[in-house]
Amino acid sequence: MSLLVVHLRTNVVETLRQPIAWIFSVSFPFVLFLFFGMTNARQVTEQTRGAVGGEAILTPFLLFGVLSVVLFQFGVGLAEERRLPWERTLRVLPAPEVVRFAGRVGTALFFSVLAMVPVSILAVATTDVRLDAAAWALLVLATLAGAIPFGLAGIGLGYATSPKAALPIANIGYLVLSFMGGLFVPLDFMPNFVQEIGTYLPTRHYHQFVGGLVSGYPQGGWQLPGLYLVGWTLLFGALAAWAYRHNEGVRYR
Amino acid sequence: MGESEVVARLIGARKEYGSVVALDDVDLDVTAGRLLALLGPNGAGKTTVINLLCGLRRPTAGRVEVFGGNPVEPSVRRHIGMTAQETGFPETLRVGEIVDFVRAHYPGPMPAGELLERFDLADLGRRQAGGLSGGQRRRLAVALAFAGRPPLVILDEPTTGLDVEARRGLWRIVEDVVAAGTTVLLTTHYLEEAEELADEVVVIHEGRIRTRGSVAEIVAGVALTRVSFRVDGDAALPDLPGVVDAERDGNGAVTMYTSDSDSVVRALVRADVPFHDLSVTAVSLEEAFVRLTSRPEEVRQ
Repeated sequence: MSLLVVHLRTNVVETLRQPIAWIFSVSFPFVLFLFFGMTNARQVTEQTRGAVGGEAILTPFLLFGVLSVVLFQFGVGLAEERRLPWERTLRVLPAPEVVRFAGRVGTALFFSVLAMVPVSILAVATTDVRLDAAAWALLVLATLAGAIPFGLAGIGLGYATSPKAALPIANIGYLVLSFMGGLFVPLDFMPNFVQEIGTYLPTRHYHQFVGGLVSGYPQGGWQLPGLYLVGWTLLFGALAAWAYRHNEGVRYR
Repeated sequence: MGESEVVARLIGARKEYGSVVALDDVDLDVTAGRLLALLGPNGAGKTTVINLLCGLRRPTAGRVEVFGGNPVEPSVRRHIGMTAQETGFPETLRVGEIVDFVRAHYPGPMPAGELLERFDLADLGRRQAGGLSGGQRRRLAVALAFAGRPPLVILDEPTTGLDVEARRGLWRIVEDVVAAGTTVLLTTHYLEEAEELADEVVVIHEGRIRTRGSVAEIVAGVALTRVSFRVDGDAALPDLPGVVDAERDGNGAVTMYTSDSDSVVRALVRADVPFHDLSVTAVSLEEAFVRLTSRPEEVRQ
């Protein structure tokens, strides 16, 4: 059995047994959709006479579920793990570093998909979601791909800060980015200055990118937001690389 | 396997952490099939030697070779199993899962059942690591070093925190694997542990190798006893054998450090020194080093 599978399975099992690490990501989108998404979706579909389906309302719920997975698992998870003695054991084992990293990414993918499942089932059961298999695949893949810059931001946070600092930063970052980027409440319903700021946030570009690709909502196309996301990827990638090298230099040089 | 085959070595290795020199120009050979103990007080540089040998750190200058390669490479580390000084496991993983995880990294690992049996963990295979006692954790940590059946096993203070019985149990296991051909490098600040296990001892202090020799040679050099007593007034003391350091304060309190307390006491009696309040106590390794390093010539004798 390949080492990657071993690392991935071990990581996933370890995390699954700590519900605190994933229960929020899985349940929060579900609960919010139950309270707000369902009625919103019905109203919007009615008001637009069927032009906007449930998938347009579902999309941001998927996004902030995945966002919480990557920010917390990379940000808080890395900050905690790299201080544990187990980290030294892992580093001495004869596994290339890329395997350990891939195992971590695979674990985040697993829990990202897990976070999407319950809310998607709820949306299909209660609203007018009109996606065929190919469109579902596109939605899931675009959501995962668009999460890359946030995963990198999480890695940067995890390597740059202590666990005590990483948790509140991830929390605040998650709430502010989700709220002001229009994932919790559409930007149209917010005060002007929030709309103004929201336009520049990566979460807004994330929403425009995935929504533009899959449901045409938010309007304005996915290409430009996609470019913005590439920019965010470069920026957060540089941050993650710096934080990683700094940590290596301090701990393992 | 040749009798004097070197499986791991440091060549002129120097390690600085910022302005602190942890290792200073250290040459060290680890010979196949033997148990080499690195002995020294806390902060001597033992863990730094180990961190270099298992690829956790890189030397500031000099070279590290393990089975002819650089241990920073994962493929070279297939030859190494290690137990770190600090022990910690992911709390939610079971003992059996942790063992299997480590075994999966090596080409010819020890069967999990045999490993657990040997380290007295057979009943704990399904226990989560968070529920292990201190001694059980320690045994698991040491077991993991042997899980891959690597030809070189590195143990960084393996028995620290274990009770006497558990310590002796671990020693028996280590002796068995060395008898079966495994090379073991172990650090300790227990002289007793080095005496019990080592074929050879390297004494390291303040980042330098002070001596290397058989257990008997080293023990004679660092096993010091403190002989203290009081004498009245300014009574003269005779020449005393094997004393490496001595102090006498204004009130007539004399403290001596010697490798041969029996001879010292006999000499005191023979010379009819009017001493009282005599006490003879063992000296910790740390204190022995402080006494010895003030007179480096005597260490070598």
